[in-house]
Amino acid sequence: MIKFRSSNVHADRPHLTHPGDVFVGVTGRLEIDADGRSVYVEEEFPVVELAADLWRWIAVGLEAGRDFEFDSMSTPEPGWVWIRRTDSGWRVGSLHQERPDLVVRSGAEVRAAVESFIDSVKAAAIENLETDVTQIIEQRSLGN
Amino acid sequence: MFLPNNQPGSFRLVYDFGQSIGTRGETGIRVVVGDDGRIWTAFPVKP
Repeated sequence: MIKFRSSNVHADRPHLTHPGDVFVGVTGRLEIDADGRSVYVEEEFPVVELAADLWRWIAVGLEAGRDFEFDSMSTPEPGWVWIRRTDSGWRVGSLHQERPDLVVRSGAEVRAAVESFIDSVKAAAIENLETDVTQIIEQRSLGN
Repeated sequence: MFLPNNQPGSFRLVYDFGQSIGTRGETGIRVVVGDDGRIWTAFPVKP
């Protein structure tokens, strides 16, 4: 089972009234866990920004068979998290992964992992920051 | 150069100064700006 885990969600600024503050200023520990083995860990990851990108991807990109490449506004290099299509399913990884996960995952497994991650980020923002990030995460861009 | 950002309601602006401005040889800067003109973040890049 593939899992995206977030923890220690916190903010580096006192007020989170603007979307930019939330996307850039809210970070947390991100771990990609593949069948109990850690693929990637980052302690200060923009988890709300990732959740928003993943939300749009599962709404459109997953069913359309499009690869996901997290192109964060906090780093010049895309691919901190990627989900890439293969002939028989999806592979999950990171540009900075500690070890590759060679298992091909089903779309249903990836969707479940992404939805669980998004829910956990929303819950942590409410619990730790008293901020509901649902609307910020679930913004659709033109073309979606 | 104006580019789309990964989040709605914002865009990216990249400017190449043509000389090193970063500690890793970056010659440009990327600025992420909200549609209201507010700067979200900025950092040096290799354009």
